[in-house]
Amino acid sequence: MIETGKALVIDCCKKLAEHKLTAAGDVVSLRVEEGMLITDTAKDIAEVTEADIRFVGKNAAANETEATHLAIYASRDDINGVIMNHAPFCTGIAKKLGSFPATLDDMAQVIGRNAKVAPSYSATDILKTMSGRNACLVRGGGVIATGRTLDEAFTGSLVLEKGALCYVGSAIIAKPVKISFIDAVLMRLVYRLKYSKKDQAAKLAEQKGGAL
Amino acid sequence: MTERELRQAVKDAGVKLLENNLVQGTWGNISIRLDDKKMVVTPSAMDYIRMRPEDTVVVDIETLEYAGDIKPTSEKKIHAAIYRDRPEIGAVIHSHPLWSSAAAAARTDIPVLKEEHKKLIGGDTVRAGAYGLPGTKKLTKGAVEAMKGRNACFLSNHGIIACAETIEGAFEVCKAMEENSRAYIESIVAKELGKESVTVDDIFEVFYKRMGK
Repeated sequence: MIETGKALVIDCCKKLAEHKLTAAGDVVSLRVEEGMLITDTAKDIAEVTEADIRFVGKNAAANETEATHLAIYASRDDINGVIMNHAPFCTGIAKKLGSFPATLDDMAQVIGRNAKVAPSYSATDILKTMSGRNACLVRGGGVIATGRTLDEAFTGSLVLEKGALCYVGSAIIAKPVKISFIDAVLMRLVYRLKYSKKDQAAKLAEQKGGAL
Repeated sequence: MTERELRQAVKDAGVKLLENNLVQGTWGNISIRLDDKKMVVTPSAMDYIRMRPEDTVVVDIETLEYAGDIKPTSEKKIHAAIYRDRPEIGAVIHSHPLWSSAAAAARTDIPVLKEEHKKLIGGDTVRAGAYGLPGTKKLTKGAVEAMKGRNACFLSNHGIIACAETIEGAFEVCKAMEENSRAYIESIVAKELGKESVTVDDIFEVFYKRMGK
């Protein structure tokens, strides 16, 4: 079962690299019974193999990165996959802005009405910044994207980077038009409770069957 | 093509959209005209990799009725409205490409820069359809109006619509939209910085200036 979970993590790492969303120090983790599977921070995401993924028990974090991942799983029952990456447009926004709004409906649905920038990678800062959302950026760093499944966390990474590019690009063309608060809340509710429910339930069953 | 072959073509097009990052996750949708009265569309909220040809749905272009338990895409109204309005159209793609979505987020028309793209898109500009929530009449009406005399348009805060006589042609229009949108954004940056080609850092230099950072 752990092997299946590792296969899911490796597949996710490959997709992140294919979409050029990664840099040194990126990490992918998957919730499993009594802990998580997590990649080695020293290993290039594109080259992760089974040997680079280890099981970490709920109270056995060896560093701040592992502690943050475990804290996310401990405090958010809805999250079963976490990705820390460095997508270029998110990284650019995280350098100078405190947040950016959803200007596209898919970002409002998957991430929330905006993405905020956490002051650091500490578990406290990340959990606070990600409250009510599925992702955040980190000041001077990259992105943390989460999901009900690792597949949804990967989609979140893509959607967040696209949301960042679109915010930047629309500001260059004219002026970004953000999704209104009411529409964004409505879109997120419909996405979570209706649109994606069946697809994510099927993927979570596969993930649990293989790794929980 | 037979109905079976069209269903397979819709499935293949979905995978192609995903592989080319023209959509993310289960978003976007595709249709191919079956005949004067019916179209084959992608199902609602189903991953294109998991989707089987038999999961696609045959929908009546006039009534939007369909048979079976699988729900068609909620954007079937846009597809049907385009087929009703444009008899020459045989395939419609709604996708979420990166740079085109940036223009869609600005809710503004943009120029088409290259002649080859003008031929594919069908005009000198790409129009932005009026904003509307997904699946609404407002979104459909805005898309049909913005598509008049064109093969593509932006859906405000949403993505793009591209159409052609064939599914292969609709893909070419999608690609033209993405290439043109990127070229337009980069041309603004290049002009502002006095450069011939631009990098992501250049784009951010202009962006930070816009943001007063």
